Amino acid sequence: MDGSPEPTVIARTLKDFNQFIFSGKKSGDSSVGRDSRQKLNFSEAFSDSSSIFEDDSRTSVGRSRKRQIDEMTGLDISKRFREKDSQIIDAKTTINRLEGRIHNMELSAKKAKAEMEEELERFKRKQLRDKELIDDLQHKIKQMQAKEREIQGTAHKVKEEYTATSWETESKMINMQREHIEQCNRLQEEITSLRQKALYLERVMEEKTSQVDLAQSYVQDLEKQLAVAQHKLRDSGASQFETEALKLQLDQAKSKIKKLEMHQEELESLQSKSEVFETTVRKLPALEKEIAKLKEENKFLRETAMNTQLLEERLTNAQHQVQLLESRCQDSALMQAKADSYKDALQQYEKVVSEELGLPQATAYDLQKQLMKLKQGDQTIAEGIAELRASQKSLESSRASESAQLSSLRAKLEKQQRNTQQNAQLIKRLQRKLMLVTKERDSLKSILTSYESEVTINYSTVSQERIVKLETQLESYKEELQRLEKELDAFNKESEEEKDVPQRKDDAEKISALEKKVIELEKDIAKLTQEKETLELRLESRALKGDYDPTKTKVIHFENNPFAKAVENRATEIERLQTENDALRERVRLLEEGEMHDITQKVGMKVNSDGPSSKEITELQEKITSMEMRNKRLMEAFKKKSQAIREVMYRLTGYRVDACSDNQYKLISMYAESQADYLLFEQTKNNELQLLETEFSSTLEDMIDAYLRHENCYPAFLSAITLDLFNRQTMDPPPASSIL
Amino acid sequence: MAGTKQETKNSITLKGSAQLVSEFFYFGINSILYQRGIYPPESFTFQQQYGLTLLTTTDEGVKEYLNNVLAQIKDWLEQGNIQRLVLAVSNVDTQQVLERWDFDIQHEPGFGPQSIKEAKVGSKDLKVIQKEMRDVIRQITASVTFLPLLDCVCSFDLLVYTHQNAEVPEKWAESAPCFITNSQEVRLKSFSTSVHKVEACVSYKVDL
Repeated sequence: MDGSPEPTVIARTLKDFNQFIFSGKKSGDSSVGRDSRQKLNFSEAFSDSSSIFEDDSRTSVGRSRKRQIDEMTGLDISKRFREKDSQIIDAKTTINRLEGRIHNMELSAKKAKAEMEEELERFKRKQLRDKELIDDLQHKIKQMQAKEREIQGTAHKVKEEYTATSWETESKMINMQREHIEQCNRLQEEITSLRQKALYLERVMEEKTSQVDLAQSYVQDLEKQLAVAQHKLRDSGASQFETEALKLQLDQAKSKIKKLEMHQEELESLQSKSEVFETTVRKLPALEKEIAKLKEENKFLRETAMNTQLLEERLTNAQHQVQLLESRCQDSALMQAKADSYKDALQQYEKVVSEELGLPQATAYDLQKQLMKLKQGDQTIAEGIAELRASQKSLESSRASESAQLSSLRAKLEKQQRNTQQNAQLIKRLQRKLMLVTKERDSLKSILTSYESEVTINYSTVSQERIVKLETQLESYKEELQRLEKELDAFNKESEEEKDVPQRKDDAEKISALEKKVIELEKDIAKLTQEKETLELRLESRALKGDYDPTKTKVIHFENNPFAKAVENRATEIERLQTENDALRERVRLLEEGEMHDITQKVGMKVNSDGPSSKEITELQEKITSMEMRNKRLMEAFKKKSQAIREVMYRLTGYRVDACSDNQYKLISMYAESQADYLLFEQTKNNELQLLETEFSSTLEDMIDAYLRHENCYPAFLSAITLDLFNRQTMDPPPASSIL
Repeated sequence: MAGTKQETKNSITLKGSAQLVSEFFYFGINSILYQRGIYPPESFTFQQQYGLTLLTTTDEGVKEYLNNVLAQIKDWLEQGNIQRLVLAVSNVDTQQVLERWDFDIQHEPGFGPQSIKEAKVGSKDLKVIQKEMRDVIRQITASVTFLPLLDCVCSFDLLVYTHQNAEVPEKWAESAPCFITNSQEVRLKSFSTSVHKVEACVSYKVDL
């Protein structure tokens, strides 16, 4: 009873609870009996628990005992106590837990109860409804039963009726059957009778058939007979036809006979006629002969007629010819007469010709020639005459013009003469005036003198004034006179000039020349004005075209103009397209070559390598050449300079330094005895110099020892060598420069 | 605008005249650019001017260029340095000049750069001036009928004929005169602000 019984208790309680719940669930109607059982169970449980408590009490009793034991057993007991306590606590906790659970169970039971009650009520309601339904159904059943009963009643009735009717029908059927049988019998009887009859009839039939056969044979015979008869009939018909045909033929024959008779008559008449014909026919050959004869005659006559016609024509022709010939004969007579006269004339002509032209026995050709010559002469003469006439006409015209000129000149001359006369008259008048003036002057002078003589000295001043005035007047008169004289002279000269014909001609020529000049100038002016106009027009058009005077005007534009932009864009686009084109071309080429992988990369490489294009290549080449040139020049300069430096170094230090290989330098002294006497130095990597062994160096052990091993001083070593060599060289005076 | 303000008094100063003329150039050049199809028609917008509905460009580059150039031209108009403005249309590929629109500019007698100091003003009704300008622009529009079709990529440039001693501003440079070989000229109408006189003319390449 320590620890181990507890779980069983719990299990039992649980089972009980379950049972309780189950029973609760089961006992929806809450049967009292079950409750009591549950209660019993509870009591059991309680009894269990009470037993536990009892145990506890017992244990408590035991504890006191155990304490004693503990006291006896010491630690063991206390341990046990502790265990027990812990067990108790566990049990308590379990109890608590179980109580809680019980509570929960109760709550759930209550809930279940409530639910059950609800369900119960629901069921009750359902039952009620079912009862109602059952009542209804029972009611319905009752109704149905009543109906059934009714139906059964009617069914009975119907059955009775049916039975009655069936009886009737059966009786009827029986009757009918009886009748049927009777009738069957009757029919059978009839059938038998009929069969008998049929047999009889068959027999009759057979007889009849035999009779028919007989009849048929008879019929056949008859038919044969009939066929024969028919044949006969046909024959008779044919004969009848024939007879009819014969009749027709007969008729025809009769008609023919008639016709023949007619013919005969005709023939008779014809015979008579033929006889006549015969007689005539007999005459026919003779007639034919006659005809032939006649024909021949006819032919002959015709020919003769033709001949006669021909002859007539010929005759007429001949007559014409005769007439013509006669006329010709007459003409010929005339002609002969004419010919005679012509001959005479010819002889005369010939005579004339021979006499005149001195051409004895001149032929017509000669004469023609002569005549041609004469004609040519005549022509030339006529031409000469014409020319002469023309010249005459021209001369006449010139004469007329000259005469006209002459008349005009005469008129002019007359004018001039008149002018001169007038001038002469004017001169006379002026001379007279002059005379008058001189006379006036003389008179005035005389008056003056008289006045002077008359007037006293007082008036001298006045008179002097007057004299002065008069003198001035006089002078003015004189001047006028001179002027007039000059005028006169001019007039005279003019008249003289006018009289001078050659001078006038010159003038006229001059005038005409001037006039010509004037005309020419006018033409020039017209031309120039035209040119000017055209030039102005051109200038205007040029101005329209946008021409300008570059000295006065300049054309400027905004640099960033749309056109420039467009051109630039175009150029860049073209460049872009070209590069693209190149790339694509390269791609195409690669594709054609069968390259399939990494085309874009290759194209890019190619284009980049080709990219600089020829332009850049040329640029680069130019650069290279220039660089090479520079390099060359530098090298040259360097060589020159280095040569100079080496020369100077050689002169100053007495050593020639040659770089024979990498970092090795060959030094040959100026005073070396042979070319083989040289020193070889090497420059190490850390920039130090080392003397390498040569044939020459091996002879200089002491110097090496002195300068290099101890002092490590190359200049001193080298100078020592030079000094040594120099001393050696100069010892024997004519060493010459061993080197160079 | 200065010009419109002075219109009320019917007097036009040199500055006002320069303003009017440069404004005319702006609309004239826009009309030519539109009519000759140098820029696509969709890059133009409608604008009312001179009683006409004119098309002006909306292309920012062209706008900026025109504003720059016309501001300079206005200055030159005031200084009297400008003799002629030429719009040259050229083939971009061959760089051949195909059309020249010349606007010959002259001072009316008695006017010059000194007339600012003299405070001399012209007396012409603004309405009359605008009517003349409208006539010129109408002629420009009408000239499309006889000008040959520009069937290649074309662009334009504005050339300014100035006096030899006029100073060349920054971003400006001397240029070739852009003559057309083998050209046919047609004189257009002219207008005058009573201070400046502008004679228009178009010459175009004749294909033989």
